[in-house]
Order: sequence, then structure tokens, then C-alpha cells
Amino acid sequence: MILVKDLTRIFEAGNEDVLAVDHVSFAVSQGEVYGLLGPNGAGKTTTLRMILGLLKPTSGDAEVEGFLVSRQPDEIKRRVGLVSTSAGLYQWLTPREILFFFADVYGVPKDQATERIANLTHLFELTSFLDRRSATLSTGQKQRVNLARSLIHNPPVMLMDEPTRGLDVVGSKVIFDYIDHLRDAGKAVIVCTHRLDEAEQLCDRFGLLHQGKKRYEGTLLELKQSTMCQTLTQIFLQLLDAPVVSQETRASIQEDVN
Amino acid sequence: MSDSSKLHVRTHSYARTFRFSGLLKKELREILRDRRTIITLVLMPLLVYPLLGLMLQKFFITQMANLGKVEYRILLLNESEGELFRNQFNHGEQLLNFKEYKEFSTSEKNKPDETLEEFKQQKPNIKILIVDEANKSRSLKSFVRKGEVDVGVQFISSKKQQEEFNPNKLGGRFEIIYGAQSRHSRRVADYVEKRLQAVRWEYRNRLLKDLGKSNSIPFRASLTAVNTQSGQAFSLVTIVPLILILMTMTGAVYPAIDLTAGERERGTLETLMAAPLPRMWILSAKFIAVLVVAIMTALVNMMAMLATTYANGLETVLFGTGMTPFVLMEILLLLVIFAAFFSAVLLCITSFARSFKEAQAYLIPLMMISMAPGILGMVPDLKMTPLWAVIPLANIVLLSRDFLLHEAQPLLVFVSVFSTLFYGIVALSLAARIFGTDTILYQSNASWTDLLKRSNKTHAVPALNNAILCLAVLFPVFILSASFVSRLGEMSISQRLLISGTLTFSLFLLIPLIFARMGAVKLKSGFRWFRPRALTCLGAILLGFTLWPFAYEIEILSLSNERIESLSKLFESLKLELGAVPLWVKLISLAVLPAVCEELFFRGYLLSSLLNRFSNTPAILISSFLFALFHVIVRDSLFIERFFPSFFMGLALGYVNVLARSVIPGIMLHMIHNGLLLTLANYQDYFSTWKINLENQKHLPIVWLGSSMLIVIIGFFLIRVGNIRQPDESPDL
Repeated sequence: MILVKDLTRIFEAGNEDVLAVDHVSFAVSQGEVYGLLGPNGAGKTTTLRMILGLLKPTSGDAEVEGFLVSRQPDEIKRRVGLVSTSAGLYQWLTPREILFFFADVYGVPKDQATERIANLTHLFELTSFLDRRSATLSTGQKQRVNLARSLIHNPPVMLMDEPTRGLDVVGSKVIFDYIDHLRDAGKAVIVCTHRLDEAEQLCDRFGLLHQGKKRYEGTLLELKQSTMCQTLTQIFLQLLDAPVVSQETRASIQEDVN
Repeated sequence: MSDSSKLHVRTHSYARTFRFSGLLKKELREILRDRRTIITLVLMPLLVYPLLGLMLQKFFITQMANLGKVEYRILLLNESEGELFRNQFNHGEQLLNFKEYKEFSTSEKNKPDETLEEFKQQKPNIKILIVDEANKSRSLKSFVRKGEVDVGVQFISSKKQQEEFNPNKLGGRFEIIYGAQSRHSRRVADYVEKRLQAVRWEYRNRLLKDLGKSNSIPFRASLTAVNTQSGQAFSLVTIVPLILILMTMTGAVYPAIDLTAGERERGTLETLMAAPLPRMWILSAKFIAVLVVAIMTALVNMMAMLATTYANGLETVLFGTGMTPFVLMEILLLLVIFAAFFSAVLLCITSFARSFKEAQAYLIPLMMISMAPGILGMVPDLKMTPLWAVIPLANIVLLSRDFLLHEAQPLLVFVSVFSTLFYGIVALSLAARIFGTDTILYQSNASWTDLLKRSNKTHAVPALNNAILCLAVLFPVFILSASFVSRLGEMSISQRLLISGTLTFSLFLLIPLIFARMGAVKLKSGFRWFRPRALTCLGAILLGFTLWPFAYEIEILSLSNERIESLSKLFESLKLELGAVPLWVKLISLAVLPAVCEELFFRGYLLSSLLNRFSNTPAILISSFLFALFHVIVRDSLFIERFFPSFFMGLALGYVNVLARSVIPGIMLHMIHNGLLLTLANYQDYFSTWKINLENQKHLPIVWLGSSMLIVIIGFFLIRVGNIRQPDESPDL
């Protein structure tokens, strides 16, 4: 369903070229949640943006449901829902107006849009603030509206960039349930995060990026076997070439994770 | 999953039903609900105008008493000249009460020379003064220069008159001296001149009646300007449009920043760019939203200004006496055009910014720069010229002032409006190049040079925004060069033709070539420079010989009898001028060069770009409209009657181009068409025996039209047949 082939992106920074993503390839199938993990600056968000056609790859290509981003970016945009932490809401519109607007943008007919908004309102418990101005909503409420917005056209593919950043436990729980819901609905999902604890719970497979390159890929079990580490955190630390951590630090990391 | 796939199919089937109106509704809702928009829109005018009104009221309170009583002070050197002038002036005044002389006085000048006082139907208080003994040594010019009188009048008699005095044959001239910096002085001078001219006109009529009895015209009247010491510091009438324009600008600034940089800062732009919407749609919706707010600001400001000035009784001071509902509409229309231009400029600049603050930092210099032409426009007695007409903002300020003074000239209105619209299109197409691109969305090193960056990929035809940009650069340069050519009065007609030819070449060929290079456009396909078939060329040649009667008939059908008469006179003078030029010079400068250059631009560069975006009919229509638009301007005058024949020729040339898939047959057609008309004019005497006389603007013999029609049909048929078996791409030359 999602096929990433040798995606590469070089940014110009003054007179220097910065290799943000370096020949990254992976595939995500229907009903699978793929965790794209890595430290800050690893190239996770850039990869997502290239898949969606928001950024042009320097080389390589991405394919979603048989459409190439280099040739038919609009076809891909129609099939993808994007959830991003940086995504805001139109502050002077109400969640209802925002949802109707995006339904319109994605070409969902009015009657279907009304039905879907009713379902999504129920799913994300938006009823109490559906007609309030978005600027007055809390962070959690805004994130829920964003999740509903990304599903308004019922896309077969979901791209999620740090979906739980800035959310409390309750807010994060909503996201977890949401991703479970997507998996059950047979969607192909890519989740970018550096919250390893969450990733362990949510994702079926992982791709670990570091300095733009994909270092490891596989299920948690496969990763453990190939890296001889016990947890995703240890794998992550190994990835960073961190010095050997003491038992105490390991214990505290483990505690954090639990 | 079944539900998902069903919905997916539905999503796909509705994929093409994006609703632009939905997008626009969202932009308008967002911006019109914003408190900051409301503050600029409503509160600012509510606060600014009453304060401004109070200030002006205080300022003019001392001058108000003199407003109703207008005095024209005319100074003469001595009593005898005073007597002579008084008689002629009063006689002229009486004559102007007759209809025929009124008509004469308006037909004599391009602009209506009614003074403001006449417009108000109020007679000014005329004071004819004589220089007193104490000031005998002073010249009239010194009185005018110091502002002691409005005009000075002296009679300069001819030698013959000095020998034998005859009041019916004055044989000399009245010199009217006025202050160049004072609009009032100029008005008085015009007022006097009109009356003296009426006497002269009446005398000429009498002469015609009693032909042979007399052979001299009584006198002439001439105007002489002198620099005055005390002119008005600035023109008050210019303040009105300037304030309205500045307020419109203020109204547009906030929405432009909020809908671009603001959206980006809030993270909503990425969500919008991730949706399957064309980037140009998103930009257009934002442009319309900014424009709506700008227009609303202009409207609210105009109403607030009118209400305040009328409430304070300042309307005469601020608007002159020219404010009528029609003028109000004219100014409002100018404001709308200006708002469109400025909104596009704002969007172009704010599209660069990543945050609200950054956008504000970019706009402050723009606002400062914008003030300069606006304030320059306030210089008293600054005449609107083609140069001013292509300077953004200044052109709108000056044009609004001229509307208020009833002095607007059609050519300059046309040039100002179209150049402003073209600049707006340039700004919008530049904004389209950068708005929402990944460089702007995500990269930190985007710079202004990205706007002018040469495309990395080569293109077979120019992108539409490249062609529009090229057109928008061409238009003001074309106006300025037309104005430049008209000023070459001292040169010989051959030299002028040579310069005009060089300009045509530079404008219509070099500028598109520069744009083709910037846009990495392949020259052959970009200019449709393909080898045509022999039959196609034959068809084009036939059309070149036979299309002119129809263009000519269209022209005279669209003309009034009076216009035909005046054009006949014009042709007569042109004939004299052009008669001295060898035919080959005329053919090169007026047939070969325009045919090659105009075809390569209008039917090559522009049409290839339009055909890439639109189907044949709209592409041909748009290119023909623009072709006709450029032909309406001849030197520094506006010849509206040239629009229809040029549009017709544009259609024919466009159709030939599309049929032939090449620009070359069109060049042949155009060249033969122009060349034939020049040759006909050159050998007019010979051709008049064939009953062809293009100078008298009479209809052509029906036989001519019928046989031409037949050959036109054959011509198009040959072009069509010649290209039936042609593959998609014509062979390169």
C-alpha cells in the first residue's frame, strides 16, 4: 500500500548541502502500523512530507496505492490523512465548520460529510465543543479535532507525525485508541515518534532512522534478535552510538518506559 | 474494509469536485470574524476622519469666508489696451451664450475647459485692472509672478495695424500671461482665452460669408506661463484619493499577513497544502479574501470621509466642486483596481514570510516606498503624463484628482488602469511561483532571488505565469516607448520610423526572448517556429492580400461620421508627412518588423502558452484581445476605433496559426497585409481610378468585398488542407 523507494533529500544551508534523508526504503501494508523512529533531526518528518508530496525528493520516489508521488501527487493527497503536531486549527472557525470545510476540500458530498462528522464527533467526543470557536479549545481538544479532520475523507493511508506531543495521559490514550481503530479499519499507518514506550505499544513494525539513514527495520522481536538488545530504548541508544550506560541509567530509562 | 473501499471509491469519484467557493468562504469567514480586521475596517475610519475633519476645519476656518466669492483679476498695461480687451472680452462673453460658439469652444480642446466656477453655474467676479502710474516700469509678468493678479493681458499689434488702425482688423495678438504653478491662474487664463477665441471664430465665420471683402483675421490669443513665487504648497484635491489609497492599503495589510504568514505560523497552511487542491486555487481564494477586505475598507473610508466632510462643510475645500455621484463611482472603481494590485503585491511579499513578525518587517519598507509616489502626486499642477500613468500608486492618485477636476484624459485613464492591472497580475504570478512551495514552507534559506531563478527543467512552451509576466513587463515599456516616439518631433519622419522599428523589435522580440531564457523555454516550440507546408503558405499569402477589406469595413462601421471626418484630416496630414519617406523604409519599419515581432510574441510565445492551458477558442480570443489592446495606443493617443479591426485580424491570425501549427504563415499574412495597405496609400492616386480610396473612409465596392470573401475562403481551405496530413509536431526548421 505504501512503498518508499530510495527516498533522498538534500537541503541547501548557505553554501553547504545537508543530507536530511539518505536513500530510505520501506513498505507498509494494509492494516499495518509502521513506526518511523529516530532522534530529532533523523529525517522522519522529511520522509513523511516527501511521501505526501509536500516536499520534492532530491531522488527516489514513493508510491501510495499504485500512484507515484513524482507523477500524481494529488492522487496521493486524496488517499492520505495527515496528523501532525505542528498542525493548528483555524482559530476563528468552530470544529464543525472546520470539519465541513475539509470534507468539502476532499470532495466528500454534503450528506456523507454530515454522517461522517456525526460518527467522528462520537468517536472523539467532540460534542461539547463542536460549535465553540477553535481558539478557545484546550490542546487536547484541538488534537482531537485534528484527528477527526484527518479522517473526514476516510483515507486508506494515515501519516502521523509525533501525534502525542504535548498531550497528557488522557490525550495520549485517545491517540492510542485511534491508532488501534485505524489498524482495525485496515489502514496503512506510519507513525513518526521518538516516544519509544508508545511505539512499542502501538506499532507492528519499526524503521529506525539516524542521520537520514535507515539503520534497522523489523518487528520488535526481529530488532531484539538482530541488535541483541532487550528493549527498544536500548536499541535506540545503541543506534545513537551512546557510551555504555550504567545499570542504574538503564534501570531509570526502563522505569520511564514502563 | 468493505466500508473503507466503498468510501475510497466515492472519494475518487468526487475528486474533481473541489469547491473553490468553499475555500473562499473559509478564507472570508476567518478574516472577517477576526477582531483585528474589524478594528481596521470600522474603528479606524470612525476615529481618523472626525479627527481629520476637525483639524482641517480649524485650518480652513479663516479661508472659508472667501469660498463662495470667486474673483478673476486681469491686469492690462494701459487704458487703451484695457478698453480694447474689455470690448473683445465682453463680445466673446455674449457670443458664448449662443450654442454654436459653445460647441466651438468644447471642440477646440481635448479636455473640457470649463472652470470649476462655471461647473457650479456661478459667474466669477471679473476685475479688469490697469497698471497704475507708480508701477509703470514693472512688467505684467512680474505682477503675475508675485501673485498680485491672476493673469496679465497685453496686446501685441502687427506692423500693418500700427500703420492703419481698423477695429475690425486688429491684426495682432493678445498674450495672456499666467502663473505656471497656480491652477487658479491657469483657469483664469483658459477663461479669458475662450472668450477671445469666440470673437476670433465669429470673425472667421463672417469672413467666410463675405469672402473677398476682407482677408485678415482680427487677432490671435496666446498663452504664456511664468513661474510664480507663491504657489499652493500642495494640491488639496489630491489629498482625498491619497488618504483613501493609504487607508485601503492599511485595510489590506493585516489580512494579507494573516492569511499567508499567519497561517503558516499557526500550522494550518501545511494541512491545506496536504489537501488535493491546486496551489493556485488556494492563492486565488486568499487573494480574493484580501481584496474583499481592501474594497470594504475603501468603501467604509469613502463613506466616513464623505460624511465627515459634509458634516464639517469642507466638501468644496477637499473635493473641489467636481464631486458628483458619477465621479464618486469612478474613484471607487479606481480604488478597487488599486486594491487588486496592492493585495497581489502584499500576497507576493507575505508569501515569503514564515511568521507574522517577519511579514510585518517586510511590509514596513513597502509602505514607506508606497508613500513616495503618492506624495509626489500631491505636487500642485503636476500634469498626468504617460510616464506618471505607468507609475503605480501615483497614477491612481493623479487620476482620481483629475476625475475630481474633470480633467481626466481617456488615454491616460486607459494606461493607468491597464498598467495597474498588469502589475497586479505580475505580483500575483510571482506569488504563485513561491506560495506554498517546499522552499518557503520548510526551508530556511529561501531568498528573493528564488523569484527570478532560472527553471532547471526545459519546457516546450512557456508556463502561463511566465507569459503573463512577460506581457506585464511589455505593457508599461510599450506605453513609455510610444510616449518617447511621440516626443521625437524634431526628427525626420524616416528617423522616427527607424526608432519606432527598433523599439518594436526590442519590445516584442527581445523581452520575450529574455523571458524564454529565464523560463528555460525551447525557442522553436515556445515561439511555434515550425516549418509550414507549401499549401499553408499559399493560403496565408492569399489571406494577406484579401483580409484587409474586411478589417477596413469593420473599422469604418464602428466609426461615427464626425470621427471619420477628423480621421480623414489626420490621414491627410500623415500623407504629407509619410509622402517624403521611401516606400522600402515604410515597408521595413511598418510591415516587416511589426509582422515578425508581433507574430512571434502574440501568436508565438503568448499563444503557445495559452494553448497549453486553454482550448483553441479561448486561447485565440485572449491573444486577439491583447493584440487589439496594444493596437489601440498609437504614440500618445488612444484610437479606440483600432480595437475592432485589430481584434478581427488577431482572430484571423490566431486561427491561421492554430490551423498551421506554426507562426510562419501568420508572419507572411501579417507582412503582406501591412505592406499592401502601405503600398495602396503610397500609390493612392493610381488606385483611386480603381475606386479604392482608403483615406476618405468610404465603403468599398461590393464587388471587391465579394471577390475578397471568395479568396479568403480559398485561403483558409488551403491552410486546412495543407495541414490535414501533418503529424502532431511540425518538422523543425
